[in-house]
Amino acid sequence: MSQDKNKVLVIEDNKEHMIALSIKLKAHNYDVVWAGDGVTAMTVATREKPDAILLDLGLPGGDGFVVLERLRSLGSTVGIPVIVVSARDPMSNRPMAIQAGASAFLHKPVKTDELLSALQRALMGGNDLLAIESSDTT
Amino acid sequence: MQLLHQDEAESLNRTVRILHLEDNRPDQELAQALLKESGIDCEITTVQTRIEFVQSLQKDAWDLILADYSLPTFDGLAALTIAHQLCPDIPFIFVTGVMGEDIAVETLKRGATDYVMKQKMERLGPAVRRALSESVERRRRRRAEAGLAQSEEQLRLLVDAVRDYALYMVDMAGIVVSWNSGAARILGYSEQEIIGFSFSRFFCGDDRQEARIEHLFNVAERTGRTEEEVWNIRKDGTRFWANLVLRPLANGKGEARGFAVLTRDITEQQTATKELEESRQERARLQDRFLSHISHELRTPLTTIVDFTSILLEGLAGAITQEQKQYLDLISRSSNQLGGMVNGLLDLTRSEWKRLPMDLACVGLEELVLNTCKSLSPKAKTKHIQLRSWIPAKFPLVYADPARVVEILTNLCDNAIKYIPAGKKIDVECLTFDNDPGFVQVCVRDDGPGIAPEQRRRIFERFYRVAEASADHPGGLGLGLYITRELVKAHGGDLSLTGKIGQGSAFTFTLPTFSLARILLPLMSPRNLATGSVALITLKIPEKPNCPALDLGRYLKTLRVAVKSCTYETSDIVLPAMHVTGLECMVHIVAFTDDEGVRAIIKRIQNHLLTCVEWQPLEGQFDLSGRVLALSTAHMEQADAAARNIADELSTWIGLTADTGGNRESRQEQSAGN
Repeated sequence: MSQDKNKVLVIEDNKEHMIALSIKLKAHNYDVVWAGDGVTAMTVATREKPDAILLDLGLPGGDGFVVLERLRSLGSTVGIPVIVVSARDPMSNRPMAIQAGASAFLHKPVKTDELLSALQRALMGGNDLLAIESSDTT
Repeated sequence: MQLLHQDEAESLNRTVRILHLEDNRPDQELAQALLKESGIDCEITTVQTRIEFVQSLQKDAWDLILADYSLPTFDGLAALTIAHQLCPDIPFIFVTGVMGEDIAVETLKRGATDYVMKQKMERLGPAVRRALSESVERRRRRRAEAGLAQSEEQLRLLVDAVRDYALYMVDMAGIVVSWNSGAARILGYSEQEIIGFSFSRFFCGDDRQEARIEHLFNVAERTGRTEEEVWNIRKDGTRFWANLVLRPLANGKGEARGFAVLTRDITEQQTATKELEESRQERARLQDRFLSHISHELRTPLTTIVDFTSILLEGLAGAITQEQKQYLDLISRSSNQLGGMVNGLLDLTRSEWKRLPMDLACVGLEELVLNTCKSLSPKAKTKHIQLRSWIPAKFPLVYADPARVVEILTNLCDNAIKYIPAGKKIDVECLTFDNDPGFVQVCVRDDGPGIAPEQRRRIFERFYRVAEASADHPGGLGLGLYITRELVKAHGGDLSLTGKIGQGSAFTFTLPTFSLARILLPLMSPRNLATGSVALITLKIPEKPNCPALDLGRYLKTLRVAVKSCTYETSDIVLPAMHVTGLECMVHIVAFTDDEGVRAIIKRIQNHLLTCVEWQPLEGQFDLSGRVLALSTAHMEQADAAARNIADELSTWIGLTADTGGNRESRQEQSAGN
């Protein structure tokens, strides 16, 4: 784990949720930047180069999936792990999020330790996409 | 036949009315005597002149006419002519002494029924008898002919009156030979326009092909009937969706003559069915949207409550007093309960749509039971309730959704903890059935006060609550047991309640045991088998201390989702993902594919794992491999047997059999304390 503070971008339009998330993250030694809509999110993501992104799905002016897609298609953000944090039905949205390239899907309300461990896992694997040796098809 | 008998009886048993044209009295008397003698009950009226003869014929009804051939004022042939004109059906017999053979033949030609020579008067009786019975027969035949003509007319009218169906006949070459008004209305051709032409013109596109019609004919001839739904084309070129029924028609000798074709325009019906299906789908879509909306809307404020409660509890907003912590704990517990209810509502609506999401896998029950008891033990301890679990050694693996089994167990244990008094105990016991290896049962038994019979009956109903909310029993929606039972049912099992007042309660549910054959059977389509090989792809993950089992369970779940999305496109793949608890975790994928397909699938899964951050901690620790089993022809003959054969071979590879859980140790655990 890195010695420096990791920076997390929280993309969340609900202020209360955003505040709660940033209190928790800051308490656990993360730097937090915030964006309340998709367009701002893209600007902040490219400018701040966060280590991880927490993404809500219901956003003003564009669905979270659109943001996720843009984050995955942009060279400067493609390597940043994205964790979807949403109140939407996980049954349909979890597979969609994973398919779209999210590292994890967390269903609101999220317990603090769940949030932290998902974030930790994302950060551990986020820097380095190592190839796994091809297994033989014996 | 019956008619004939009746008529015969009628004609011979009732008094027969005979008109006798005879001027010679002894001859009259002789005839009368002879008829009586031969047992014919008759009443003879004698006339001598032409006028009397004509009048009698006009006035009365007769069964038979006897006539002398030569009369002084009148001759026999003239009488025959008159009789033929007035009453052609009445048998006419000449009784004469002077007729030569040639004249006799001449009279027969002119319509006489018979003749009797006076020298051979003993023939009179048999002649009369025969004439009468012939006459009865003739009348019967005439009536039948008239009846036939009438029923043919009725049938024609009936067929013609059928206006909602096109009803027509074609010969063996498909040429239209009859046509009703319904056909004219539905297909647009008049009788004159279509008779003599092939009915192939009603079929459009490919349907018009000879082969198609031949096929229709063949099936109809072989099975006595063909029914098809096809597009038919009207005279004006418009189309309609037609329900077509063909029946072969045979002549009296059983030779095929052609086919009766009954056509119904079901375009509207078809449209209606389609619309119904569309509206059903639309409703499902709306329901989905509603569910997602409700979930979102309720969860948004809930998230705020949960988040800030935990922030306060963790001291992130400053130190809190013991009393404040106590209250915050209450808020936290209630909001968790609220979250559970929101989930319950979602599950409820889904269960009514039979859409409870299930992620079935091959599961060992002991770990699930132990984990559930472990997680509930703090709660049990606060009420001094002893929570224990019993599971026999080598307990069969079950085919279930592990998360749902935990939910079922949690609901049942949680309920027991809630309702039994402090100091009692709860036993969770896993048992096999001696007579049914297809299922196992899990029993959650308590030694509480028991449940009254009337409550037992209703306890699984929606929104039914045994007790009103009180300080001891926090309120709820009354959905817990209903949903629990729906969950059990979604696995193919059942949940029941036994027990007596004063002797505790026992909730028992059944789960299907894992059998590879059971999973393979639905996949044994000819298309799948046609690939000629079945592959087993195994992903093996060693259990590691820094990778707790629960997390691994979640990984497996995301992996299954991922693999499903990876493999859908390769079409022949099926995924009975399995989760074998114990020393290592494995996911097995069975695919109807060959070496090349296996390589493609493995590549896809690897690619996915590379981009899925959740998996990266396990990097280098898992082993992904595939093996291909060639299908022998023996496999393909019968789906059932094939499933079993393939399952046996795959089981050997996997290292498990349907009825044992492998070499796991026996465990009997006390998980929650006294």
